[in-house]
Amino acid sequence: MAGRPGPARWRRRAGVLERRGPFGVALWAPEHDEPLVLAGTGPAVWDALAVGGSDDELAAALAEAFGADPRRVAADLAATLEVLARAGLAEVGPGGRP
Amino acid sequence: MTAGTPESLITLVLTHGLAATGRPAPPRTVPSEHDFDAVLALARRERLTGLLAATVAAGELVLTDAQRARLAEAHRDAMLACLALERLALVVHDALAARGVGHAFLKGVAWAQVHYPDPSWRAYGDVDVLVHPDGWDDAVAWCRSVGAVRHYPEPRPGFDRRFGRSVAWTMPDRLELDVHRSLAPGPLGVTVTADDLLPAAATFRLAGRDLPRLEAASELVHAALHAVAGDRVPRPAVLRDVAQLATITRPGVAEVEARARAGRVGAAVAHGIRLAADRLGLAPHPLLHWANTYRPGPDERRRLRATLAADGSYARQAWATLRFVEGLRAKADYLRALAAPAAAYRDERDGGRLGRPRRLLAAVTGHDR
Repeated sequence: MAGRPGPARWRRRAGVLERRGPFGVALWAPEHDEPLVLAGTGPAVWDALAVGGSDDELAAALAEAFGADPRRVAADLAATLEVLARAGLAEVGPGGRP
Repeated sequence: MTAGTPESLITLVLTHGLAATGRPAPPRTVPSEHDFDAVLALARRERLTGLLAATVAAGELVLTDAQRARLAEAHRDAMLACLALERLALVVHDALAARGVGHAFLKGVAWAQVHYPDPSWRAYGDVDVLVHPDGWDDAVAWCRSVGAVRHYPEPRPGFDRRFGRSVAWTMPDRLELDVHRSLAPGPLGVTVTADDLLPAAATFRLAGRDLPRLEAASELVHAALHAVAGDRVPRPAVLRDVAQLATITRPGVAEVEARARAGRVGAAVAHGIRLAADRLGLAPHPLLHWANTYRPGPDERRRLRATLAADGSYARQAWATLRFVEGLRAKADYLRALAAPAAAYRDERDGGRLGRPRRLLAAVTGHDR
């Protein structure tokens, strides 16, 4: 009997143009009209999306990396992921099967 | 060179990541606001913010928090401009490929991705693309169809496809696209043209796709020619490109010489490599040895002399090129375009009917210096 699919996984969208520097990370999805610059903890979110993961997995990884409260991280992360999705930079893929 | 002065700081930045025997010692103190202003202004103007940021990140230059913030802002602006240009390159590639136009991307948009450890080290201000003459008219038609405006009218119909180095276009969103027929202006550009260099032998990755570029030996030839025939005084980033390609990418000496000889520009390429080596104090390496020992033939020496004598002047360069245009018919056509261009070109470029003859006469007699 097949198991239920796991939670949806966030990942970077393919084809994003990128530059890094002391300002953070500048990103531009070619089909979008505007770029996005991530600063502060934003670059860490972008780096985590290179591997990808569910909301919980990403929040846990970032909380550990920053030594922060996972619940606080989860709230901030949700807002960042929404911004990235609107800018065409990140997307939710289908969940994996256990 | 006194440590910590703007001049030594720029040399420190320009040689970051290179083996340079004459490299200034990193300064022991943060630069004064006056000196940092000078360095940042030059870095902005010459598109060196990436190298400056890398030099700081490597701990070779210590800045105050305020100076770091200013550099971060300047570099962010430069990088956003590069991302916009990369979007343009993708659009250009798709348009040319759809029309079957052979092409290869030149300079910054390709070199940043291929030859530098991080593309953020190499900022640029336009997209350069080399287009095969068979597709030249299609490329021009596409540029017009999307609302791009060329900087100057063509001297005479067909001149650009037969004799020009490149045509600069401003796209509707104000980004710049340079469509090249050749790798160099003037006498050096007559024999390093797209029909000899294409189809492109290499690619670079952009947005997960492979875009065409020339192979490294041709790219070094291009960089060296740019140092020789570009501006009167080679720009710092141009010299860095020569050094990066010659000493880090290191195409084979035999391949570089073969490409340079095929284009009859060996003397100029050797000169360009020596210019970079002298200015940046590069450590010995095989291509520098080649540049120091290369023995050009008389034709190559004449082309280099004619280019250097032009001293960056468009009019003198144009006049000097006539001698190297091959074929009597082609020489006649070139001369006619030079001496009696179409009215639109004459009015815009020369300020009227007599402007062109006056400039040519001055160029020939040397009274324009």
